[in-house]
Amino acid sequence: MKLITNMQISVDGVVQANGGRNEKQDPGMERGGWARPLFESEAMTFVDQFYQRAEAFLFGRRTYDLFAGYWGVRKDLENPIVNALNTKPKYVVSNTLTDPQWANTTVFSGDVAAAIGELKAKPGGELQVHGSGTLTRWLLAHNLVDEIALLVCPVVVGQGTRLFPDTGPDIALDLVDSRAFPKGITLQVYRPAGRPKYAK
Amino acid sequence: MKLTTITQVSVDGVMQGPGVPVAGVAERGGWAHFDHEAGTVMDEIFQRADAFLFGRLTYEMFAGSWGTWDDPSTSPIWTALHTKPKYVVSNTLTDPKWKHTIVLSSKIASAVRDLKARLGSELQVHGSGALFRWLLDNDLVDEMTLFTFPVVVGQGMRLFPDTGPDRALELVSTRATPSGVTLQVYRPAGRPQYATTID
Repeated sequence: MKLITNMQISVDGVVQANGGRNEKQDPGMERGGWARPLFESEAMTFVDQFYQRAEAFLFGRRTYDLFAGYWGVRKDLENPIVNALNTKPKYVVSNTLTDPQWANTTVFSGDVAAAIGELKAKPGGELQVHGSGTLTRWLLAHNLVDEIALLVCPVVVGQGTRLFPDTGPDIALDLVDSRAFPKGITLQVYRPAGRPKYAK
Repeated sequence: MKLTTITQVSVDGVMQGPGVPVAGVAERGGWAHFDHEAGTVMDEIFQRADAFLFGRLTYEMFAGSWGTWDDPSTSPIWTALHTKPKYVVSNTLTDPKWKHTIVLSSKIASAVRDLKARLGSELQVHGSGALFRWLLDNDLVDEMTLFTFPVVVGQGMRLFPDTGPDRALELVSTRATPSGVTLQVYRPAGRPQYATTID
């Protein structure tokens, strides 16, 4: 399976609390919900189709908890996102989660890189990572990402966690797809391509 | 004149050292590789300029490179930079050697507003990260163009601060060049709209 990350990100690189303000999940983050008003039917359809392509999901613990409480309790399987998340295998990286209640969940702890490597070695399909900023950074740093999809939302949030750390590995990227949606979200899909070349 | 900003950024939002490394601060400089199409767009942008507004660091870098080069006679960038007025925001620069330079050192906001009130097409801000942030904070930016280069730099100053005012943006245009540079033009559009709280 190829590992694809999908992230809603603001023009200033923020990824935290895209869907809504949630004091428990994101203490101190007052500007949550910056992405949701920008999704109209075309962008929503894109996200639906993205989920429909998934063979399996890989989550960080926080996004997993959020999704379990939101998507995991829904029964409307005719919704493509509800359907995918409730019928495909879910893997969650966590050292604290032991007894996940959401059916079809497997917890990865210990040698996570090896476990993910084994998943990726399986034939075909997409192993999708949605949200999960900490995990995405770790996957990038460990060269485990095959494709990064960024849905860049036309907003400067000015607060909250960013996807990319201030200091981290440098990575060249190939742009493999790009498009714009009616309310100004732009999609950029990149493939990591080794170390960058620098001008002298 | 409308005030437009033109900034080269990486996918991780770094704006420092696009063209060359900056010793001690941006060892990974030189990440902004222009293909022919991106270069043509940049030429066209400079040709539209009626005047330039710079921060001091970017001004000095431009003065030390473009300002010292002989006219190649084929560069719209050279021609624009040498023939149009250049305004520099600085409290330390007093005697700029580059012709057509005017230093702005006090009441910057009203000086910029005066310039914007003049007839003409564009007052352009290239690079100039600190000035860009200040202009955006003070609602003086009419349009921002981002050249996003396909690279994660992982080091160096970013265009947007970790903490700052929030702004809604309107996407004016977007395109991608053959080597994967994406160009987005945005217009600031007041405060963003936020979704209601998720329980």
